[in-house]
Amino acid sequence: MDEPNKALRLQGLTKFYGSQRGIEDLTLDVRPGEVFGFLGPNGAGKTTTIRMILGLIHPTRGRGEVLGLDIVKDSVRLRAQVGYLPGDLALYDRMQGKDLLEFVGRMRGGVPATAYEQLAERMQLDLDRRIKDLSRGNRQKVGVVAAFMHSPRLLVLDEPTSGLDPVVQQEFQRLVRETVDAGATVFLSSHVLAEVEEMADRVGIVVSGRLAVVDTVDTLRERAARKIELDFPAAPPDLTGAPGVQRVDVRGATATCWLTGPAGSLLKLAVDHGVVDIHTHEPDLEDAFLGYVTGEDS
Amino acid sequence: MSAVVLPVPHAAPQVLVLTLRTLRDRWRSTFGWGLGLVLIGIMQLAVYPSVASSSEGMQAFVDQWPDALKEAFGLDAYTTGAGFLNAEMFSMMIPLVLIAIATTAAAAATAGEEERGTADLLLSLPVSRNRVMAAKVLAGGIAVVLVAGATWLTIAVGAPFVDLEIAAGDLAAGILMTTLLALFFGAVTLLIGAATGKRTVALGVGVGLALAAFLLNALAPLADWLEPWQDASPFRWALGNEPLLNGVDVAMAGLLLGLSIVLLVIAAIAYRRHDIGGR
Repeated sequence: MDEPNKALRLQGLTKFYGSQRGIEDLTLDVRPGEVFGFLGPNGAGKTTTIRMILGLIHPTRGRGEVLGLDIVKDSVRLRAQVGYLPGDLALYDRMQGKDLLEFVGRMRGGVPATAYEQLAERMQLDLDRRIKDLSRGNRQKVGVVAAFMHSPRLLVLDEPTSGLDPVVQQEFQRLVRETVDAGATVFLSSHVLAEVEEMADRVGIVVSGRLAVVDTVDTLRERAARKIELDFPAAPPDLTGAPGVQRVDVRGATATCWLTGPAGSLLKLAVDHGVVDIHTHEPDLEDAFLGYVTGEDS
Repeated sequence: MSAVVLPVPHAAPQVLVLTLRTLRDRWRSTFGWGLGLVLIGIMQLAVYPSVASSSEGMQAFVDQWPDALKEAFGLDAYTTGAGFLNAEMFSMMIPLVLIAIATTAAAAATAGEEERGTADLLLSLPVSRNRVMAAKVLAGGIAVVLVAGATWLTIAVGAPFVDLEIAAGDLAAGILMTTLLALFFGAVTLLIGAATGKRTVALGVGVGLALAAFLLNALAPLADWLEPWQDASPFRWALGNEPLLNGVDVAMAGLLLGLSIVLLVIAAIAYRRHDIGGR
């Protein structure tokens, strides 16, 4: 088999549920060895896309390949190469963690117990407890171990850190990085920019069933509109003219500005009008996306 | 990138692992139904001696009933071994319990996994839907056969103790025909579940059709307008020839088995095309 030069390739991939759009005309390449962040608000079509890649649902049109394997025709062979963490994880509740992982391993043709025991130890997961007795975070850990234990070549992770506490999130991020260093590719969906920007090399943003943009995390962050709140002693001055300001909301003596690029000119203007206090916020996804849309309009 | 191409697992061990997993999942309910049926069998056997000893009075009483009513309640020759077993066990209790096992297993098989959300995990593994279907059919079939076998064993072992005369072959024929009947309604349920992904819809259709077929077969002798339709009832196919007296009706057994296989093939095709619903 020729080594394909794309870990994941989607071409015009489309899914309609009746007349309702899941995702439309998605074309996307993920390179081998990269972490690709698939970003978008809830309901944008991320999970629909992922479930088509896994063969759980069938495309309305378009096609896709994982490592050169067709997502419809070669689905079973494809799934042997993939580790999947569902966004809405449901496990066999009555089983113990170790029984579930042993079952998953056997269905994969035999995964040595040491593989999942080591991962469980790393994630500080007790495999002797019944799944129904585990907290949401610990269940999610079982899902993580099940997705990673067979050393897959592509990891498809749908909102992976939901429910994990911050310490475990860090361990999870280290695990992702090591897996990538060992040669795997990661396709990571999220509705939180912060989750993705820690790990991803490139990001695609999907909104209302359409891919809005694909870019590197650095570029995205640069172009993302940051929110800056400025408190003035009285009614704020007109700040819309300052370079890089996309939008201004005024409420009482506070002006909230969405800004791309350097903040110098805006701050200078604010200081000249006697600004009292400044609050800055990390750009979240909606703000980042706003930066893109307005940036392209202008 | 990692050069290791992971192989697709072989069919037999995969199907076996999933079959065992499914059986373990359904063990409690299967055991419960089976125990119930065995206990009912023991109870019925226990009352047989009193029925047999009052045979003249009992038979005279039953003989006064209209023929249609006797047929409806399976009361011909009520005091003979075969007649008694037919009236008390094979005309209703055994088929309905076996159908309950088959339909609940079939509804849980694909639609149940889908409603619980575990289908996403299972079908993200390198296993084809055909193999999943095969394992689920095997597990459901084994559950029905185990309970049917336990019932057969109970009656076969218990009958001599209460002087209930029944030919071993005829008893086995009765069990076989009711088992095939249950598998047929299981296949119906599996098809609906595979096509819709909805457990309650599948169970409703499967159980509803089974009850309709049961009532049609039982009530047809009582109503002229129903009588022509009796032959449309799978209960009639399975039990119309009185297997406890006449052994296996090969044509009808073949009909039930053949239709079940056709339904299973359609179910497998429907399942392959089905979009697994998110929760």
